Amino acid sequence: MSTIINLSKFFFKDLIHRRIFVVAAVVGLAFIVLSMLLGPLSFNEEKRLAINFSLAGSQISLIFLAVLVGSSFLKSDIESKAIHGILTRPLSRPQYYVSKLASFFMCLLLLSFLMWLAFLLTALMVGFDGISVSMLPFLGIFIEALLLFSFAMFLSLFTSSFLAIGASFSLFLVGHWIPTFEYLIRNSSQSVIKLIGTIIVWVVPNLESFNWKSHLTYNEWLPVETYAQFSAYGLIWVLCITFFGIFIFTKQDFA
Amino acid sequence: MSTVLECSNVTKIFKTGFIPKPVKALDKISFTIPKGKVTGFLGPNGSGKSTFLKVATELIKPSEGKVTFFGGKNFYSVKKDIGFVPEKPAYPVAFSGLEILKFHAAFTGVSKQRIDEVVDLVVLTDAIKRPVGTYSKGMQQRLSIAQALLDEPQLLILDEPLSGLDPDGREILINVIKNYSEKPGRSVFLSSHLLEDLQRICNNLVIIHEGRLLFTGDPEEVFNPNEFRLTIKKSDGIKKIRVNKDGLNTELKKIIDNGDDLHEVVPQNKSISSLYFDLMQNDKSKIEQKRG
Repeated sequence: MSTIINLSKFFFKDLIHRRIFVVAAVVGLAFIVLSMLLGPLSFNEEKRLAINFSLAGSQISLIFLAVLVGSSFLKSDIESKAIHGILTRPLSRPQYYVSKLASFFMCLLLLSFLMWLAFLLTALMVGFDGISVSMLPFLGIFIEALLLFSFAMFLSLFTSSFLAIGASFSLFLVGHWIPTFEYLIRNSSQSVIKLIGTIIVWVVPNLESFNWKSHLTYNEWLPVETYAQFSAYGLIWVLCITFFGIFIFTKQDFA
Repeated sequence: MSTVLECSNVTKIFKTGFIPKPVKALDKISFTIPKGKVTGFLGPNGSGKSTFLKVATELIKPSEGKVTFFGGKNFYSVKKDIGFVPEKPAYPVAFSGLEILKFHAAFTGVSKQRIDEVVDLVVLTDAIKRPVGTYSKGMQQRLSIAQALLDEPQLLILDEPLSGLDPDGREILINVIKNYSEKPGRSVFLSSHLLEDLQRICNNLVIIHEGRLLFTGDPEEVFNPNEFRLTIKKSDGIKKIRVNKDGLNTELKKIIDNGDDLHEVVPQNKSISSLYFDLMQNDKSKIEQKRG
């Protein structure tokens, strides 16, 4: 365990030194601040617009960070051969892989917390009254970003960073269309469409499960158990992808 | 004599290209590295030296055969006893040298005092708190050696540590390697192209060419100070022969009597480079003969 902690701390420091971390933080915080300026443009929907815009801004910056970092975090170590100096130390390959994930987990946690604080400030300024539960949409964004990061890192093991980014954004889009595919399966008369829809629903995580932004905006909440179930669903996906990633990583040659 | 590294029938075949084409990088290589020696690992570019070192350190898996350490143990179980310096050490540029060493020290609980010792050893004291991004190639190489020496390993494996360094940097590294190897029971396995530097520090050699083993052992054993190599141009081509000091006059007379041209008479002095070039030339001739 101490090996994973040592590695994670090192990778975390490496991450926060990267320009992309700063860019994601600045963009996310800028979206939140800008939302206050956008609010007055709407008619009678000032609060809703400000809340929606700042949550969407946080989501966009965290998802971009997850996909861009995930596609290059491990890949850059392999390409620069920095991995040679670390893997020959007393540690195992699964420990290395898990530490990469853990360091991004910490980085994402830090950034989500910062954005939540900025969001709280904005919400207080526009007089929003749902502050006590405002952390929940950020938890959804956090799980979604972690899932996309693990997927991008997994893909980067055997594809180029460019392909990993493309495939991860595709997963993001398709993952948010899962309810549409479920609707198609229920209502389509064509068996081919039903089959394709069923396959997609089975192999692609339902990212709409973590979209809790509107719950806060409209103050319409689901039972607590449902949020717990969705969180567990997301974390199981992260674990599965990580498991396959470790399986490939332990078999790879680093020439 | 006990050995620190043993490899038997190590073969590595890479498959490259869209339609995978097999390329044999290592071809049934078997040798041992004796304990307490500095072993030079020689071979031209693309001969498979780095591939072998990566197989030994489990960065790549062999297609056949195995490499074991300290009497049959695999690399994973003895990582703490082996220091490895990769061909191109790469570190996150924002970290200082000291942060890098502290990170590596934490794996095995190395003390702060030991970190200071290795920093002094590789002459990096003045620069150790600077970001690695500001280091020259030689300084990065020295940092990498400091990292490998942290755990006071029994075996130090270095992949081309001297290439691309200025004379001062090379001298520092050679001294570090020499000092390390002088301690009892310490062994070094070092790949390099720099024959003169190897001559100064190595007392054992492994030479490979095109993935095949050409020579392994103490180079002193194959050198005969009383032997000469003659290059003669005959009507059917160039011929090289070795003669003893006693038979030199007879052989020269024979050449004159036959009307052949004598091109060169080279005394077989104790130089790694003469052994290396002889072996390479012989191997190339054999390959050419095979190809017809």
